[in-house]
Order: sequence, then C-alpha cells, then structure tokens
Amino acid sequence: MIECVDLTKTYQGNVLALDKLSLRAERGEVVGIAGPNGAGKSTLISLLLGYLHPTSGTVRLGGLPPRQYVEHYRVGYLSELIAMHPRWRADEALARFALLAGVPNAEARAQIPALLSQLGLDEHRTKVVRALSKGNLQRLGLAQALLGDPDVLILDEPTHGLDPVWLLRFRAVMRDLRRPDRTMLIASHDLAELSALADRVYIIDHGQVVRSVDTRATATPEARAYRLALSSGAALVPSVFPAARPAGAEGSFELPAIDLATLNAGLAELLRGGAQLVSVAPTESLLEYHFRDAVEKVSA
Amino acid sequence: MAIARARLGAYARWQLRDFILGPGGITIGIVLLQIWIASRTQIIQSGTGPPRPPSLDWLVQLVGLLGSIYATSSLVSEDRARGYYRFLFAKPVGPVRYYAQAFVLRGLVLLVLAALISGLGAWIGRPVPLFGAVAYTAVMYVFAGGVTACQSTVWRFAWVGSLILYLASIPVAQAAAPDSPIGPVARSLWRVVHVILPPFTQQTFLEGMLASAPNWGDIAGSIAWCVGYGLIALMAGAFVIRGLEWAR
Repeated sequence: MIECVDLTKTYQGNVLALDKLSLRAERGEVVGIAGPNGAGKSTLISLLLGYLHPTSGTVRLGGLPPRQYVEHYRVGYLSELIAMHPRWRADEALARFALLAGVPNAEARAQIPALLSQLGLDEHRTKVVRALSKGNLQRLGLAQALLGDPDVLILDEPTHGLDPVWLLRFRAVMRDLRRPDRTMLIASHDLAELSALADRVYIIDHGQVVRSVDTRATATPEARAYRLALSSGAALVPSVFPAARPAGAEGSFELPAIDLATLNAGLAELLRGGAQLVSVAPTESLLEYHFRDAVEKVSA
Repeated sequence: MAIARARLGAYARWQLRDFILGPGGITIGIVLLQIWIASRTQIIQSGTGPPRPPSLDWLVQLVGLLGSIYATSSLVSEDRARGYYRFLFAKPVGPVRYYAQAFVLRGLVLLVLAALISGLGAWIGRPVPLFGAVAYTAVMYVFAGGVTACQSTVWRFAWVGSLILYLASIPVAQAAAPDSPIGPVARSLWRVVHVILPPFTQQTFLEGMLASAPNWGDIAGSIAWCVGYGLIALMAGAFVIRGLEWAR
C-alpha cells in the first residue's frame, strides 16, 4: 500500500535528508517509524503526502504517485504541529474538513459528533482553535484525520501534547482504528507507544533505514541487559554475575548485556543457593534495545 | 478503494467567509467609510453649478487596483507559511482547483462591491455606471489580482511585488513611449521591458470604462492586454502550484 524504494531527498545546500530509504507498509498493517531528531521522519512523511518531491527514488501509495493517490482517495493525516486557522471553531473546523474529505452531509452529521465524543472534545466543540489546549488541539487534529474513514492513516507524533490519561486512551483509539483494509503509519519518538501499536517498526537514522524490527516476533536478541530483584540471597549475586551492579533498592541489580543461556544458568544457580527471586526483566523493551543498538552502531 | 472527491462547491461558503472576515471585510469597511464621507461632502466642480458630493469613480479605481492586490496577496502564501496546507491537501482536493475557486470568489466579492459603489453613488447623487464599474473591476481583478496571486505562490509579500511592478511600469512606459527623449535603440530596449512588465499603465485607458458612454473601440486593446496578461499570470501560478514543494 505504501512503498518507498531508494528514496533520496536532498535539500538546498546539499543537505541529505533521506538517503536511498526503502520501506513498505501493507494493507492491514500498522507500521512505525522511529528515529532520533533530524533522522528524516518529517521529510519522509512530506514525501508520502506529495508535499515534497524526491530527489531520486520512488514513493507510491496504492501504486500511485502520492498526490494522485491523495487527490483521488484521501489520506488521514495528523501532523506533529497542528496548523489550523486560530479563529476556526472546533466543530466548524471538522465541518470544513468533512467537505474537503468529500464526506456527504448526512455522514458528516453523524461522524463529527461521534468523533468529538470519542476524542473527548464534546465540551470544547464551540471553542475556537486558539483557545484549545495543546492536548485538545492534538485530538482535534486526530479527529480531522479520521473524517471520511480513510484507508491510509499517516500520523506524525500523534501523542504530542497529550496528558497521561489521554495517552492511555489514545492507544485504545488506535487499536480500534486497526482494520484489514487500512494501512497505518505512525512516526513517533515514543518507543513504548510504537511497541504497543505497531506490527513493524522501521528505525531510521541519517536518512536511512538502519533496522526493521518485527514487534510481534518473540525472538530475543543475543544479549540484553536485565534488572534483577531478590528478596533474599543478594550476597550470592556478585559471585554468580560478576558484572552485576547494585541498582537502587536493596536486592536490586542491573545485569549488563548477557545472553539468555547465561542468564538462565545464573538464575538457576541463585535459586539453588537459596535466593528468593522477586522479578527479572529486560531493562529496555525489544524495540528500545534495537533502537539503541542500531543508532549506536550508526554513530560508531 | 473508493474514489473520493472534495465537495469544493459546498466549501465555497467557508472560503467566502474567511475572505469577508479578513481582507474582504477590511476592503468593504474602507469603501463604505469613503462613501459615507463622500455623502457628507459637497464640492463645486469647475467653479460652476450647485455643490455636489465628489465623484466615486476613484473609489471604483481604488477597488479595482488596490482591492485586487490586497484580495489576492495572501491567497496561497498564507496557507503555505502557516502550514495550513498540511491538513487541507491531505484531503482529496487539488491545490489548483482549491485556489482557483478562492480566486473567483474573492473576485466576485469585489464585483459586488463595485456594484454597491455604483448603487450608493446613484443614491448620493453621483452615479457611476453599473456596467462600467463592474466591468472595470473585473478586468482589473483578472489583471492585478492575477499578477499578485501568481506571486503569492512563491512569496509572502506579493502585494509589495505588485506595488513595485506598478511603480516601475510608469517610468518604463514613459521611456518606451514614441515621444521619449531617449535614443531609438534605448527606446526599443525599454519597449521590450514595457511589454514584459505588467501593463499597469493601461489603467489610464481602462478608466474610460467608467464614462457614461465608453468608447469601447479605444479601450478594447487595453482590456485585451490586461486580461491576457492576467490570465497568463494565473496560468503561471497554477503551473507553479502543481510543481510546488509545500513543505520547507
């Protein structure tokens, strides 16, 4: 559904924003884009919407050049910075965007109140854009992206400015949006959010895909760091895991990157020695691990 | 995948509202204020006859030139500079169609305003021919509005560009005129520049449209030049929009 092949974008002054970047997002898939600041995420999204033209390489949506697809089929797009006229009222803004999205009047009359309600904007519907808080504005931006039930959703930092309550609700909203004929692309700094929502995450840095992570895969990397908590037997830890470092509370340790076999052998030895294990967990999620590892390798 | 089309015709009322609440409203306010001032002013023309309110021809000319430039100055550039394009054109709408409609709607507001000046002029005793006022404004809007709208696709200060072109066109027209004191070679060069520059100096001839009995034969060439130039500028603007990199 979304396909970029050897996509390169050079800005004036020879600034290379994307460097032969290739990625795919299939129908029914939720694909994440993660990367440090300046990695090329925003450039990639502008190219996907036809707001920029590639220097070389191709980008296709549904097999068509971006503008052709957008102008014939519509895309649900939420930008990181919500740019709407400050004098527009929230409900009026949605009415305007519904017309531009080609939503018939009867459908718009049903969709707009439903979206306002779903995104907790009921009480703000008559406020003008400039009077909305950052979080409310973000939700209004999401509401306009969902008008017309688009088959392609492109969300750039969708949780930007949301409070903790809405961060949790947002995930539920996103899960509801998943459907077999819809492609969703989410660019975010929030790796936990991408881990929870995306099927696959492309990690990009310096304009290139440096890793593609299948977040549904159960395979763990060869070596990861773990956090270990014991209620007794802490004295055994230095002998079993010589590289372990105390981590805050008593009985808590951080184990530097070790493989699964070494971890399990060590844990078995601790338990045989009478230690009481409270918890053992990776210090970072699979995606965080891959992100750190990939970006560090590129930097090196 | 179901094909979707923006309901751009229905969106016209929002485009119209945005214009009326912005530059259009300010233009209407200035025009009404000027008519009110004119209605309370009595002047004696040519030292004879009873005192009368001043003619409103100049107000039609003001709307035709400055009103057109003001109406179209931010047509494209504001959406681009403020990032409004991001949501607008993620919808199934082509930017050229969107701005073409906005251009036409803004022009219609100016035509209504010209008709209003004509009507209110008659009411205060200084009528301006309705057809002449509307036709003059239409020609000036296609020309000056077209030139300004074209510039607004590439920079935010299109009105500055149009005013510079307006001011530059006057000495260039003088240098290119047959009775210019400069040599024939230099005059030929200035004539080329004169033809390339927007024909703002044709406004003097176009003002003949506001006469009670215009001599259309004398004005037709100026109308054709201005309208042709405006249409070419609009086509150039559409071409720029089609290839525009909106994001920066």
